[in-house]
Amino acid sequence: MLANRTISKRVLPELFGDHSIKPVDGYTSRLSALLESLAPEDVARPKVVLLTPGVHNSAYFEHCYLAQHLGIDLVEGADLTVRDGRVYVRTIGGLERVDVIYRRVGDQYLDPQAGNPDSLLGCAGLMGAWRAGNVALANAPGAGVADDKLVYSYVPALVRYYLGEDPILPNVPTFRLFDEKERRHVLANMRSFVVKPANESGGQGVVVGSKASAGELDRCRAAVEQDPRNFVAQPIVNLSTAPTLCDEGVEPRHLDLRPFVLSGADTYVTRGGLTRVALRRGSLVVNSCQGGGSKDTFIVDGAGGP
Amino acid sequence: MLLSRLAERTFWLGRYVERAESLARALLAFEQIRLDIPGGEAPGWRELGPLAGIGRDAADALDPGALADLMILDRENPSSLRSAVHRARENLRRARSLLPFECWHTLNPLYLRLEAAGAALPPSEVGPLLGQVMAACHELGGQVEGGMMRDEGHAFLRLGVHLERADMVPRIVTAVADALIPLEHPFAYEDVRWMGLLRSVGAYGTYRRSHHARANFGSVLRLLLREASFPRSFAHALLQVGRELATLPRNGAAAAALRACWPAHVPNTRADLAVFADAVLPRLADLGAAIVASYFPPGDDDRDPGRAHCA
Repeated sequence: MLANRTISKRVLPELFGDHSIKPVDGYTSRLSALLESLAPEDVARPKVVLLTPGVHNSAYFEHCYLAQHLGIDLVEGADLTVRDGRVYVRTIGGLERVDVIYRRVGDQYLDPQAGNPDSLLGCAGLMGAWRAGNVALANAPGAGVADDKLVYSYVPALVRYYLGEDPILPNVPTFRLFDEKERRHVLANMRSFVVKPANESGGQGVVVGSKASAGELDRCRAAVEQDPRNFVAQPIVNLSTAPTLCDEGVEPRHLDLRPFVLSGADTYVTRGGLTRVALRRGSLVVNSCQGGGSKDTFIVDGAGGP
Repeated sequence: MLLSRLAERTFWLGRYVERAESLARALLAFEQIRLDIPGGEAPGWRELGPLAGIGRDAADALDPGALADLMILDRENPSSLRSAVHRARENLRRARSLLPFECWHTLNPLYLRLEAAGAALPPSEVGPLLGQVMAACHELGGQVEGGMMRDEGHAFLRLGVHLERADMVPRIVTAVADALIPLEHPFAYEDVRWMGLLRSVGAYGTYRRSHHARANFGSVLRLLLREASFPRSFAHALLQVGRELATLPRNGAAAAALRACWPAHVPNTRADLAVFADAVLPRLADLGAAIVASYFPPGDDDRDPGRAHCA
């Protein structure tokens, strides 16, 4: 999002001159304040670090960019050590206490004593230090449960339960395939549905009914029958398109929008976001690891806006 | 305080950038002087081989073009110019957060330029390529000078630069003198040869301003090794190492190793120069090792946790 905006300003300076497009730059200051607010003890200047798997991770550029803009150290597992339930970072002057870790390492790899014993990406004892309340982890281990696509189907119910009001944004209808009635309906009309594995990411294993071959549909049906809890289905939503510069010239391509939301003591939504775009003609798969691209997103300041 | 790993990266970034720049300068100066000396008397690249990790015997077996390619472009040779730039980039990549944002956009295009070069370089491209390496290193130096906080990261970067410079100067002077300055006096193209030696460490203009008489080993070596106010001299580099070390914590072992690097006697003949280089280079290696051992501990060190939240 931030790098896209930098590029847009370079390529299309006139656009920004002629329209009042809201800046996205506030994101890093908000994120920085939020991370500091998580510090477990009352310290004047909490030590915040960003934990990355390292240069071989496909998101390393983003980790580095964020650390630079947050003004915090980018650390790898080997930089950290746990002594007496407290987390320290190795510095040239010895060990220094760490209060908050913005971790971009998966749950399983955070601590070889707790998760994958072969992990070199984390730090032994980290989970113990976190449980003891001596260090804050963002996001908290287990937060990935929100990635489970089945959870999505409960969001309207969650909104009604916790806020006592109806959701403002409607959900895409989502079928829970462990429910026999819903499963039978989906399996009888597979051409009209997208079937998604509940716990995958990056568009893996997604079957778009209208485009899949008969063989793919059969395999998908068998997988659902075998483990219905692991799948959800949604009616095929025709994603919006936007003009996109492709090898063939400017053409319509499908896209979706990822806003960035910071949720701490209060909630902040960026004025812009990451628009993901499917670069293959007709494709609905926008995920970057499946060849999707991204676009800058403009929020234009209308009359009466703040 | 600065992370040990980042300190290590900036230190090596400084070393590799300085190595790339000084190697490029030496090769460029040598190439230009070589072309000034006609036909049969023109010196070969053989004596320069050791600057890029190629022994003289190995260098003898190669034709001049192949030797130049091995020194400049070879991927397998860890001491080639390409390897120095590649390693500088890899270190910067892991320490980007400490340096001005623009540094990456200086070093990465240089790396890509070298990647785009084939295995062999036409003679007409040698000079421009070496010039690009030097220009990018200068640009990086300017970005650091004008844009980098004078903090511990800066100290480690400068430590790397000056330790490498202290190491490269005796190597370059020895190799280029062996290639250009004949043993017997008098010799043909004397001015051109001395100019080549001075230019190989960027000292020609400075030398001309302070010495109007004919060059000789005594006065050239005094400038290149002992003149503290000349920024590419051995003495200047060691003084800067000392200055940076003084700003760092726990510097006892490195400071002691640095004291051992000062020679008892500064050479003023060619024979002295060889003795000097043989004595001082292992001491500089010890100094590098002392810095590594003091600040870049391997994975699990057992130092005591310092004060919680030290500033």
